[in-house]
Amino acid sequence: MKKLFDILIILLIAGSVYAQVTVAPVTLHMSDADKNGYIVIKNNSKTASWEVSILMKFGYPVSDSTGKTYICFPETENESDPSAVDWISFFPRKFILKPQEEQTVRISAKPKDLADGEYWGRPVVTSHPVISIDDDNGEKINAGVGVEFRTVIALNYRKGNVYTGIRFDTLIAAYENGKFIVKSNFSREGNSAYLGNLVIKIFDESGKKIKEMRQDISVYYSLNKSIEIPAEKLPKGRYTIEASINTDRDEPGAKILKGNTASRKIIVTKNQ
Amino acid sequence: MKKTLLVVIILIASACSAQQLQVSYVSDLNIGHMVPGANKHISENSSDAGKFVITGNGSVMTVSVSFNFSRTISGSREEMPVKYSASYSTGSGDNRKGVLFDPYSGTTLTFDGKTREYTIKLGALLKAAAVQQAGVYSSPVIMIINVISN
Repeated sequence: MKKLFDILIILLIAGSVYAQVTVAPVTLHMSDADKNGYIVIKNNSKTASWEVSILMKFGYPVSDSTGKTYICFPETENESDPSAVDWISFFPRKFILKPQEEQTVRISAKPKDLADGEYWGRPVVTSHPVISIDDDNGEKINAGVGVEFRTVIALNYRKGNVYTGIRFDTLIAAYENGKFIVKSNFSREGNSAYLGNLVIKIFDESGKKIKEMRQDISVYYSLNKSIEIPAEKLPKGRYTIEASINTDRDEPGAKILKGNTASRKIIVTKNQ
Repeated sequence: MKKTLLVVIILIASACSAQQLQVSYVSDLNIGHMVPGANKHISENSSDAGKFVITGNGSVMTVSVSFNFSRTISGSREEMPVKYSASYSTGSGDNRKGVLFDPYSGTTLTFDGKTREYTIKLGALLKAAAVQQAGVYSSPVIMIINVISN
């Protein structure tokens, strides 16, 4: 008879039932007039201490051919890359948070001879539980390998005359399997990222709006965006998809750079 | 003195209103007993699944969530291959069946005033060797949350 054996994957310190880490804010806008910022990191856990470290990488949102957005972290930086990594510093960069404790991390910018424009970085807040391993008894099995959280936030530094704009390159749409699939492509203009909203409205043949969806969008260079809008049990007919991108964001504490609004329309026919 | 007090108040108010992300690790992925030579599957929707909760504060933002895993879980002397699965659902309810996604490539979650919380559940498929050492096995899991809307 085969022997049963116990296997337990332990993702965190045993006994640490509920662990939480909060990072705020998740976007930092800095400028020549505002060279200092801060992030607050809090350990909401009641039992575990967490070790936190911060580093910054150069990165920005990009998309693949399917319209999925992800952050690109180039392996090497070119001189033309608008990177803020070398002259932004964090203090402290590494610390321990006891249960219920929080730490304000101060951010300081010391740029030198920058051309006008926007400079980017992605602060990476890494946190994991502090683990005490019993080294005295080699016969014991240590279960100290655990969960690690990496919260990657955005940092933009604006120097001098900054401006942004957007070009709405293409819009295609289809109705498949009970949903509208809307794919759009954008190119940024100006010298700063375009942070805004993509608003999609769908109208039936009578001009009545039957669906509306709004998503936030950030275009650093160019971006493909694919959005699925559920719309089951629609009658046959022609539907007008109206897509619009703008910078009218309602974002507390943020300093959104205003840019142009661009729109496109397309008609989708539902035959079945 | 008054100036100092005013500055402090403004900083606190600003921190409270800013976009924030809270990541919670709620429960372990528990494999339990295994038989040598047999597969064991813990569904991402079962009560033994590992559970995370990501919480916003009502601000509109979009994040991508992905994981870095080891291909094996390790005991004191042996390893065992593992393949993870994942689902997400809005809110923090335990019994909801989530939307499946590939944890290796990740998924995208949108937060706003209505949707403030997502639950991510992790399942796993393991195969023990015909002669597998008993003991406690463990695996590092790195959860990466990228703010992609800014």
